[in-house]
Amino acid sequence: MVSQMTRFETSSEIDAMAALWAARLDRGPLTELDQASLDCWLEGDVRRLGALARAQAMLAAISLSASTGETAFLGSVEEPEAPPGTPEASPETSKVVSILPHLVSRRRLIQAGTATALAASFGALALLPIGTSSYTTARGEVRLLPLADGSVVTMNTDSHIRVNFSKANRTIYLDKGEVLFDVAKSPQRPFLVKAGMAKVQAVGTAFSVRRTGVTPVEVMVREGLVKVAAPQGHKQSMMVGANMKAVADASGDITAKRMSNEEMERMLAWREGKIAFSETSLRDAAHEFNRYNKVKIEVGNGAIANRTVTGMFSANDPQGFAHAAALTLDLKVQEKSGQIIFSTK
Amino acid sequence: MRGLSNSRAVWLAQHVLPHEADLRRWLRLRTPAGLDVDDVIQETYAKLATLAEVDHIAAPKAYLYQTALSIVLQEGRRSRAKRIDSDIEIETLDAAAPEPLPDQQVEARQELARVFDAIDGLPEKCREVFVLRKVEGLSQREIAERLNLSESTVEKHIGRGIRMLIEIFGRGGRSTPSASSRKETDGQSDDEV
Repeated sequence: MVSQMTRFETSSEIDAMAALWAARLDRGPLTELDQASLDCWLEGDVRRLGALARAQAMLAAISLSASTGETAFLGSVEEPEAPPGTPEASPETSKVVSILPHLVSRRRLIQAGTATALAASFGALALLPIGTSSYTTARGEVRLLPLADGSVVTMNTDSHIRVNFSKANRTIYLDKGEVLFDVAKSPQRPFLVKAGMAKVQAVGTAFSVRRTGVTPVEVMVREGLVKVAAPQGHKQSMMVGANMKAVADASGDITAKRMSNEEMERMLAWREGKIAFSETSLRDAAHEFNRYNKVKIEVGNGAIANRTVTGMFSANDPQGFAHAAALTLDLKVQEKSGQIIFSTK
Repeated sequence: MRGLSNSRAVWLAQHVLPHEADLRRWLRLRTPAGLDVDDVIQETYAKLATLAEVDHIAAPKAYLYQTALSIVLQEGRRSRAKRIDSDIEIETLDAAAPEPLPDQQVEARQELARVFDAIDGLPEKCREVFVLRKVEGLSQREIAERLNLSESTVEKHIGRGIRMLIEIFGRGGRSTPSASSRKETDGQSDDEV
């Protein structure tokens, strides 16, 4: 039993000391003197060891969460975004490439560590040399791009990125579109994604960044930890964990919300050439389809646009979607001169 | 004692920390007056930290609850606290100690995700240091170099961060500690006795 004196030390006071000791232990090996005082402190009350264990577990929890995928973050933005190049899709990339990244466990992709193995398994995919290279996807194209460091980039339709690798940094400019990053762990070489006013920094994680012009920059984190920051706004930065979506709007405000696994998978259905809706307005659904296809869906601004649809559709089949939606919503649909137009019956 | 082995810290982080807030609520209903739940929690961690082995524990959550309750019972018998009927308490435990569910891992993972919400709430400098340490994997020394701070300042930020995360995370919300802060004021004058 502890002495009367120490008994009155509150658990809160003990927690405070324990946190300091955990920080000291985290710094490195203790000096003899430190070790002696730690031993002495611990002996005084059994609760102290408990508090220290808890403090050290707290630190371990952070590493643990971080290493289940590692970390992405939209770091502070010090400099304006590099001039966005928004080249048109080049003709040779206009074919639809259907690659199914889910066939290979993403973790194994990351752990494979070498792009060589990946390039071999996916065929003629070029390794990225040190220096800047640009990559573009055409409408309807999904492209899997293994990077030289072992990271894998999956580009959605109508996207453009520039990749700049140096010995010290891995930087990717997302000029437009939507991209999923599976980042290979390399603590000494930060992985940066610059998407307009927002910057994402990662060590190794899985997250997607979307910058389509209509919506603000969106970052969804599948695994790991994310810090979101924008140049101005009330809230300078925000940590965002797995299964969360952060939205940085034009004014620099950042909001984050939790997503269910289901919702997250739905948002990433594009990797399999699908678009998934859940109570989505026809207006938003049309906009989504129009990102992928030359044929445009037109819903106008009336009541029709506010009707909602739910389901999973092939991204490259706007007609199929339109007919299914028309059937469910009891609408009429007709196609003329590259437009699909909804109207009431 | 050199603090915790890394593997034990990880085990606690995986199997205990995520359940702490629930355990606290559960204990509050079973702790006799005069016994502080915060004390029980700390003693529970101490007990789990000093176990020779944890690999044999198939249902860590149930084990955690059992350990905590045994401490309550022990303390209760020990004296000043009102005597409690241990038989009844054990029965309660059987009924109430949650069985390990298949989705326990998921649950634990979600709890871990809350750690990041908590990190978000740290003061700017503290958070920066934390991120560099735990996310970018820099050592305290490297952080000191990068941020042009002394190593002891970095250590202080880490310590302060741990303290705040524990307050936020362990108690299952952003509220300030209630039980222990109350006790703090109570205990102040008694310290001199």
